Amino acid sequence: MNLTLEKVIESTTKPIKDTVDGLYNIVLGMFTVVKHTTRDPITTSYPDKMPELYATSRHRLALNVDPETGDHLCIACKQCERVCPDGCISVIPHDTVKAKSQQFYLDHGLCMFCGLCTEVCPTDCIINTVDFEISEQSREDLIYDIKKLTLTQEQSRAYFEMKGKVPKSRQGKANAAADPFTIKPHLGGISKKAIDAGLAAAGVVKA
Amino acid sequence: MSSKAVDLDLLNSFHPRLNFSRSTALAQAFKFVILSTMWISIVFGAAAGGAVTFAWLLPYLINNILPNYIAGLDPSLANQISGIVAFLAPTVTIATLVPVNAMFMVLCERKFLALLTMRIGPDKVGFNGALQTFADALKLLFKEDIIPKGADGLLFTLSPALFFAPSMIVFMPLLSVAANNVGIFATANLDIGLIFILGFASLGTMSLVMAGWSSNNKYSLMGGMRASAQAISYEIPMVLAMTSIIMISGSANLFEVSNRQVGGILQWNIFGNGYLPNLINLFASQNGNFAKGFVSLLFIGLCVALFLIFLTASIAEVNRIPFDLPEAESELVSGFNTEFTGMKFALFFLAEYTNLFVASAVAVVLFLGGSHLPIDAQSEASLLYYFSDVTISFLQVGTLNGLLEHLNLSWLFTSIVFLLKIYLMFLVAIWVRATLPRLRQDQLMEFGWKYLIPLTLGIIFVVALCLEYLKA
Repeated sequence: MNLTLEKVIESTTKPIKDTVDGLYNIVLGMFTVVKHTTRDPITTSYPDKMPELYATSRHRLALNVDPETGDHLCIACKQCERVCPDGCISVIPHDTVKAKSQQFYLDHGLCMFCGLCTEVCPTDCIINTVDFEISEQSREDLIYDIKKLTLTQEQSRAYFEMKGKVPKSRQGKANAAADPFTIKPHLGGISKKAIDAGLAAAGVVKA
Repeated sequence: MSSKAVDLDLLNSFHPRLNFSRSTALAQAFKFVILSTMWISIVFGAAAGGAVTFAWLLPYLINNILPNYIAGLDPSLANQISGIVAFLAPTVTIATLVPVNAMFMVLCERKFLALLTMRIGPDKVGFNGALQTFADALKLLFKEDIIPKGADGLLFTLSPALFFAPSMIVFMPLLSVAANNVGIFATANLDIGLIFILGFASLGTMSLVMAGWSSNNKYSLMGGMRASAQAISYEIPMVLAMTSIIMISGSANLFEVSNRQVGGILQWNIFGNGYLPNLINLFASQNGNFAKGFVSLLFIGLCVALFLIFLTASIAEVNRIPFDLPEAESELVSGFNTEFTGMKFALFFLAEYTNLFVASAVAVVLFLGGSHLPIDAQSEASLLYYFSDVTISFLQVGTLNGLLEHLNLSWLFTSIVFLLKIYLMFLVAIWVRATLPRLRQDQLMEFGWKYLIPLTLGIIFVVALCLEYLKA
């Protein structure tokens, strides 16, 4: 083996350099950990304190009423029932009054909380709330009827504010057109001309 | 995660039970300080209570009060009985200190580790989790005691006890340091104190192999083998570092080592046992001795290095992160204590924390000034002298006349300071646990044999030369 002066010097200084380097890094790590002491703990002490949930979190479903007038927003269009992948919604329209639902069953046991029903609702009636404590003692108790699902006027107003929305009935035609992702159910099928008109109104440039 | 997404007040209005809020680091730190203060006073109270009762109160009662109730009691017999009771005082102190201390240490580790890692830790049982270890011990007590099929029954049952017993025995010399050599605790003052501790600490290694072998489980066997290999390979740097300190202090008596460090922080062994002011000689060019300054610098550097080596070796001895591969939860399915359930597991757990306590205690005695207050020698001597002959006259009542006369209360200061220093070292050990990842077995062995042992051997040599020069 080639024993040069450089190799000898290197073999003696390398352990010392490694030691100093190692000690320095350990001390650096320890001070970083001390810095973490000043950060707030991220633990949420559930159930004493509820965790912070975003406005768009998908938990228990509820039916809105109009925040101003208090009328029930459901128009019994059955779009939520149609789009639900689990088939857990049953809408029973009113016998005599038009655009009103008589009974509304939603089985939270079947529901997978995908939020599709909230996306297709034309009046922003059915929404996802932030309430996730819906445990019951039996499976039948998980089937909510319209009384249990409907929110009060104050709660509806609060949810509209939280989600940053205005009820669609109050949105002007301009506002409605500006939102290209609102699916407006068209009973006769949506024509290509209507799609292009909608996209042009929203300012989306066609490729 | 800011609260920009949601308005907390608005959200809290949806349900009466909603309480969207989050704790702050300051609140958690404050709660931790209160919890620790509470528990440290309980630990100290238990230990001191046991000591005081058996060393002072009961002998007095047997000598002076008991003859009033038993007619034909020979005074010399009462004397003998009270002597035996007093002699039991160190044992009772250890017996009360170890369980209560382990309870505090487990909780303190979990809470402090949580504080260092942005979490909260257990806080549901009792105030801020104060009763958590108690609940854990109770749970382990109720668990079914399983002995695996094919396991060696005798060794299996014996190994937790054999692991726990040496942890309690090694407390003995430390008691004399804590109690300032007062009263019956002078009997615990062994001239071979350090060697006594080393000897009994090595006994624990045997029980690790016993536990691994008798479990009839190849993973436990691997864990046991690794644990014992680690223990014996890190004992050597620990002993060699201790040898250097014995050389510096001139005695293996723990009380003596502690007393050499009287007189403030500069006298601590980690700072060179009083040679730190000699560093001025490096800069004063006229009336200074440059060689003396240089040798002092070398000596102090070596003392700090000795402290770090001793700390590393003792952390490896007690199987603590970063050296806890033998019992790593994610690596070896908990290693050698896989098959132990219920109370046997609780004994292993307890013994591990007690070992850590003893290791911290020995580190404090050897390097951090033992049980002495960080004030100068004169003030401390006068303080202890003032408290070594206390008479509380206004509490004397009837039959207890003469009880509260000429009490030696100097042990209060030394034991509290000693306990606090040990817990500070324990916090440093937790800090190290929060920072470093685990070492692999071969990295561990390489570090111990190829780096620490030659280093400590060289340090003994150089320290001896430095001492010869500085003391001449």
